Amino acid sequence: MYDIKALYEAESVSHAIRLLEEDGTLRIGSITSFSHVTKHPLVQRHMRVLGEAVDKVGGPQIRNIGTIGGNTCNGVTSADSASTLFAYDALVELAGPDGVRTVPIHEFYLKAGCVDLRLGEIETAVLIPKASYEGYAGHYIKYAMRNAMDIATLGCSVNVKLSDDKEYLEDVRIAYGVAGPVPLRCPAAERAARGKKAADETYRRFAEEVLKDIHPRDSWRASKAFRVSSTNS
Amino acid sequence: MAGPGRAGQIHETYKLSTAMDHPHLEGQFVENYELTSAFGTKALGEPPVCSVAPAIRNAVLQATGIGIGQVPLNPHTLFEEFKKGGLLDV
Repeated sequence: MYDIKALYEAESVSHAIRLLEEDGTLRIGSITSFSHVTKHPLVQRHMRVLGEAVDKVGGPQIRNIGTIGGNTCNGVTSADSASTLFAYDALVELAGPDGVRTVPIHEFYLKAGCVDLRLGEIETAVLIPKASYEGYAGHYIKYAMRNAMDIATLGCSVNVKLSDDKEYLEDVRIAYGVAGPVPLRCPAAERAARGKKAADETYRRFAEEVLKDIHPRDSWRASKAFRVSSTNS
Repeated sequence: MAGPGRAGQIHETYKLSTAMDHPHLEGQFVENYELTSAFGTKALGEPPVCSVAPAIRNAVLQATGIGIGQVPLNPHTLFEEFKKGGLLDV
């Protein structure tokens, strides 16, 4: 086994946010608090929507203590950071007795409350490749009963990359939280909008296709029909 | 869910609003002499608490034509009632 304290103190698990020199990957240390993520200049410049998403977690005190690593490892579908990380094809860096490995976040979430964290492993960072964030702008909507101290009834993170003339949607990515047991992307909707003209007709098609991709459930927090209806509006 | 006119067991799931949710609110005093009390005064606790829910319920009725007999009037309840009343096409 390894010395977990040494690992914790080393740079590998840190609250640093930086761009990797080799390929421009945005690296967010797992123990970075939500408020640091939101305020960090690199996040604001390259992935502002992530900062906005984690700024919806709980209240200010929670955001000063809660970390992005904790939010992802918790494995819940309602995590405010998760849908945005799904939408940006983020990677999760894990360190354990067998060394360091990197897994795409959609493979990291196995099922409700369960992530691919093996015995002795800890998450050391969340990585967003340059190709995933460069040129993209996004938006996160947290739908909850209250504006603070509430868990999302539905969370939606979307981002687009426009063509140079800003007429076409070069790429579109959308991910939902609480629309299934784990956060999920909408491949059919993304296919329907990719390469299309940035016009109302495209957005209507996109909204219709989204409903084919999501599968929310009934819970005490909201009924399935209510969640589907909220998705649509 | 509770029947008409009763609050019922909403305490477990109903989250009270916080400063982030609260709309602009102004309190106005209308001072008039209350004959039934010894000093012409009225209670200040119950009237503002009890009258709000029915007032909002009736405002929803006036706006949509749908009268709802249960609280809280949260989006979940409105969604079901509006569906029943044919206001929502889902």
